[in-house]
Amino acid sequence: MKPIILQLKKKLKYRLDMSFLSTQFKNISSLQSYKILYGNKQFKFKDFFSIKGNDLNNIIIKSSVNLMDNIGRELRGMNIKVYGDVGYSFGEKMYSGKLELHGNTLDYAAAGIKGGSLFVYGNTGEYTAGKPNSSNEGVVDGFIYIKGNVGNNSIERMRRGNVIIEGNLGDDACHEMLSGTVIIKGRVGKSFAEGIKRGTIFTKDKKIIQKYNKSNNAEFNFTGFMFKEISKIISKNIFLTNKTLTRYCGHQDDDNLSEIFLYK
Amino acid sequence: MITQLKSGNVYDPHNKVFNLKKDIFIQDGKIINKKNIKSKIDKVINCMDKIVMPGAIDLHTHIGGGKVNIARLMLEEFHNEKDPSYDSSAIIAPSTLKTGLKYIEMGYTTCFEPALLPINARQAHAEMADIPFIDKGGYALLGNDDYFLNLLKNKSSQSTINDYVAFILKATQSIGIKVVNPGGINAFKFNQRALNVDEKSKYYDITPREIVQKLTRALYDLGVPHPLHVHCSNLGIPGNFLSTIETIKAANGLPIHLTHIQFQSYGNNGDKGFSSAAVEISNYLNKIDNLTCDVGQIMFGQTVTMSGDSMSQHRNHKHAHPKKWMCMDIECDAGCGVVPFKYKDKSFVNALQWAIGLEIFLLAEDPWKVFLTTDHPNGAPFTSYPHLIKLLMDKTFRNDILNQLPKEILSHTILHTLNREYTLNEIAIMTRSAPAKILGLNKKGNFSEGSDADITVYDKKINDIEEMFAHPTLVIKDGKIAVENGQIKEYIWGKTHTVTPEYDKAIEKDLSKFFDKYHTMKLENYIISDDEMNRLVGSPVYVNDCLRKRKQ
Amino acid sequence: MTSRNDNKNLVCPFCSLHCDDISVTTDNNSYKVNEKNNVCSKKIDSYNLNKKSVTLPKKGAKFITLSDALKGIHDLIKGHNETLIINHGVDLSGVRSMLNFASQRNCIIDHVNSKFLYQNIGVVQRTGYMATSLTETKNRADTIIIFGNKILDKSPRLLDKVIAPKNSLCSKSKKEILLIGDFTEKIVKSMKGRCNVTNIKFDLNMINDLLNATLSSDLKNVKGLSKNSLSKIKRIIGKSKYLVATWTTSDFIKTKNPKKIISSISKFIVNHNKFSRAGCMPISGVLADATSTQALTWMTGFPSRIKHIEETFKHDRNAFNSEILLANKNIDVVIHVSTINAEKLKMNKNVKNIVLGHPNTSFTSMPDIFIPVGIPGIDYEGIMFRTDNVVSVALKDIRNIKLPTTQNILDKLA
Repeated sequence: MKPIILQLKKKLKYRLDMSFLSTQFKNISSLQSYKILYGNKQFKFKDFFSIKGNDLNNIIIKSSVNLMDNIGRELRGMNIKVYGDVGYSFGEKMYSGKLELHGNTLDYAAAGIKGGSLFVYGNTGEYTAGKPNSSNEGVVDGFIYIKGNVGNNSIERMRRGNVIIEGNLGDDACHEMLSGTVIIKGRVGKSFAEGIKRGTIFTKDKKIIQKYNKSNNAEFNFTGFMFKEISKIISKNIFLTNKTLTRYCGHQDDDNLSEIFLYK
Repeated sequence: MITQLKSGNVYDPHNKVFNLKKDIFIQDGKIINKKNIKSKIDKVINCMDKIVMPGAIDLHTHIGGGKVNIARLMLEEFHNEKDPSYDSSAIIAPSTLKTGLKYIEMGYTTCFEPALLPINARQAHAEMADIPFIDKGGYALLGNDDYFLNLLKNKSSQSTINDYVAFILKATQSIGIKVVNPGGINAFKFNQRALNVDEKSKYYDITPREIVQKLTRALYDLGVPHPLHVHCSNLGIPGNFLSTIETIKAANGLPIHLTHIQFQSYGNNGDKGFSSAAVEISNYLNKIDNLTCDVGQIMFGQTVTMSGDSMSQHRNHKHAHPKKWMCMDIECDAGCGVVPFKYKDKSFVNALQWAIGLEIFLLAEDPWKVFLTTDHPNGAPFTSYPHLIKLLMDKTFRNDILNQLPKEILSHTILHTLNREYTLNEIAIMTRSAPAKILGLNKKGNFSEGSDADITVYDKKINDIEEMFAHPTLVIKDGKIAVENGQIKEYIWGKTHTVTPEYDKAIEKDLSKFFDKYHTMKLENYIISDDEMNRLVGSPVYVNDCLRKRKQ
Repeated sequence: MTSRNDNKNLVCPFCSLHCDDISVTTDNNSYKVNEKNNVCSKKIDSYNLNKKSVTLPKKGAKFITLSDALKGIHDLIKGHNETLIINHGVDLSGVRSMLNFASQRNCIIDHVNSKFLYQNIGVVQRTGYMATSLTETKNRADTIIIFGNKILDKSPRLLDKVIAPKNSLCSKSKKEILLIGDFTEKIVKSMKGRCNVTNIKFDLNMINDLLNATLSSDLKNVKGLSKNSLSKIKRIIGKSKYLVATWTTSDFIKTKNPKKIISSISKFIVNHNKFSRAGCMPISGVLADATSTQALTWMTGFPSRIKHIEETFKHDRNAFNSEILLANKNIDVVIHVSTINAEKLKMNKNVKNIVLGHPNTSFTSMPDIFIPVGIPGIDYEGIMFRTDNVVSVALKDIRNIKLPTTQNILDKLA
């Protein structure tokens, strides 16, 4: 079995909804003849993409552009790897499986994901890992890794899961977080973590810790295991080590039970 | 053009025809007797081994109006049926197009929106006008509007109240009057959180009993066929069967229709303070002549509750699933509340609710008095009717499901002891002829000469009763084939049914003054004319006859 | 048919209040509002024909026949791949035919004010929400909090119809009005004497903090608000038996996070209902926003930004956002439907512009094809929805200049 490789045949002018890729196709020919609406006309999938390979559970998209929306939306158990930029709602509400993007996304990437893992080796837009439209739940569970920068209003109402950001995080991030873990390497934008209830945040940005109390110095055993696990998942050593951490908790506001790990 | 449905097994309860091999003839959209056929028969449809019934009638289904649209907007994620995390059969707040398609595919040809706010009537009719295939109508909500409560407060005569009721029927193009939580919605606007049948509202000093009395009397005096359609006080509260019985008594023997009575038949016995009072309610139902009801059966799964009863919907908002809801006070007229809800078969309360609904069905002696509804979408979407019919007709199927429910409910319900199985005759009565009769639709629900040719043909050979009712092989609306073998053949647009008892125009003068003073629109723009219905709203009006001339 | 010097009542289509108590004198093809004092008369009268009015179809600068114009539109759509319909305000019949047309040509539909709609919609689609309506506010409310600054410029008659009405069924004394935001002295003055006004100058971005502070038992520090003002606000809110919060979303659009402001107002109102009564009453845009939202919702399930795909309408609030689609040049042909818009209509470069607009429409540049159409409520009868989404009005016709309706045109094109 060889992964399916999709190569875009022509330059796109209009937006293209790619959510159908998340459905399980029975065989290659049903994918080839799948009808898609482009502009106001109907085409077959093979009119747009050249298709190689035969493993319908492993899809590689080459030469993607940011007009291609909803790639990996509501994905279940498949692997999709994308080279190039993608449009809105990359991996929105995915359940399981793996998404990998070597490029940038527009808004609503990884919004409301319920499981699986999602890697973006570029930048993401606004509402990344936030609430999808018409739902009040953010990330429910899953693993998200973003190499580049993340736009505003991201990671709102996160419930469980892990988000690792190597770049900078925009304004109004991590609002009303209910739980989960967020690790940020870069800078953090304005009004960060407002209305947060629980959850764990790793950051080097000192402005957040003002209203927290510093914990006693202690050895944090679990973080070591966690970093090791994360390093395994992202196939490289994470930038954190146990030695540089200081823990803050006990926020002035009684409702806020979150903890912050400040690192140098 | 004459069409013949040949050799079907015909059910026409109105004409006392049950399972009789007969031919049905259609000419110009109407049923015609064989002896009156003058020209040749153009088309013969073989109905051998088929069951032929009049088109089904749903007398209580929320399919149009502000609250339905709020639900559609709120539950955007449910419009995508492909989403596997939701029950794909659930269409809990469908668009108008989908509503029409799903109804006609099930052989329903006439449906009634039970909560038409007078001030919102134009919108409700415009929405329903966009529902294809079916005929429709609405019941105007009264009993919580400030004008009516002022009439009561000022001790106006019954005759004035009758004028107002008749005016509302005409102005809002309705076929009946419904009262929701009599006086309670209004009291909620003054921060009262509950109102019992004999409790006075703080502001107007009026009890729900008075409201029910005046309105049942008004409809009786005016000769309106459909009795007052009542959503009682204390909906959903354990122990509310007492207020239901009090509401029945308030009618003083005049005709009254209690809607979604399942939600009104709760006792408060047992450890959990929640039990079935279906036996008590059924005793009344079987005893009293002028009392009818529809059940409002619940089914397990995701749905959305929508009601004019803002008082109870606000009380219930904590149970919202998914966690979002909306309540609204509307125009000194009434209110509304929309709360999505998921009935769970693991839940003691929900399981018992399911059992209570079925108990009422099975304890009812007369199928002409009990109608098959799920209070769409409050108990379940209307698409679950075939499943409900199977529950009623198949004891084994029913008990299999009952056995999967929490064992605790068995000590609070007698469902497992009820061996009754509904017959096809009874189903035909309760889904066709009985609703037509209680609504005064003379041309519906029967195969008499001159009646509307709304016909549903089921395949007798299908063993599974649920499957048979879900997919009729042929559905005819106004003499035209709408569905054949599951395929839509032709889009047909129905009409709006109304009733227009006479009234003294003097009421309009007084109302006009009231509108100018207190409303934010003029009375003349509140009234919907037949011409407006036809041209702007988009649904022609069909006026049904009153039972008799006005009395008072 | 109208004749000379008839007195008629106009049902006004030009703002979301849709007042129906405006008397006009009509003269076959013109009309004039009778009441001089009516704050809207100038605006309403401005839709009369003038020297610049165009009553015949145009292709660029050239007048053409209607059938040529229809053929021109037909060819443009046929020769291109992506058509966008932008609704700048039309009645129900227009929205219905727009949808019918889009379903046959696989078009995208968006309302020009959708961006405001999507700020508001979150409170309904994501959380709990308590709403109220105009008549309810007029008769029941004793206290109204108005957020923003421009609401009364936009819907001027809100003041005499709802905020300071002559008659009220239940609230007999003057209403307490709390202005929070940046209201001009002129507005405050216009309210004085008619209601008890308290004007709080306050940064709209901080509304969440202010509303939270009203909930706590002690006087919290709120940036930009004196303790005196806060205690006054708390007193007014505490006394109220029926509280209404109102705003117009366009006032918030320049703030950092409009959604957050709206959701904090909504949360505050929901919380207030635990012990007293309260409701939100946002005032929607003047371009028949509510009509479009309501009608599209019942017909498709979605309020805006839809496209017809595979026999059904799909909704995507990002991918079908007209502003972004145009900015990124993903569209070939735009059909603007604009029957009540008073402002200059922006034509887009790089696309073919078609306008179905009222005769007085002006443009930033000439559209490719312009068909003048009637104004609902002036030239033809129709139905529109009021801002509170529960009341719909039947518009009348008051003049006779024989223009086609939007429905006529779109049905012919479909």
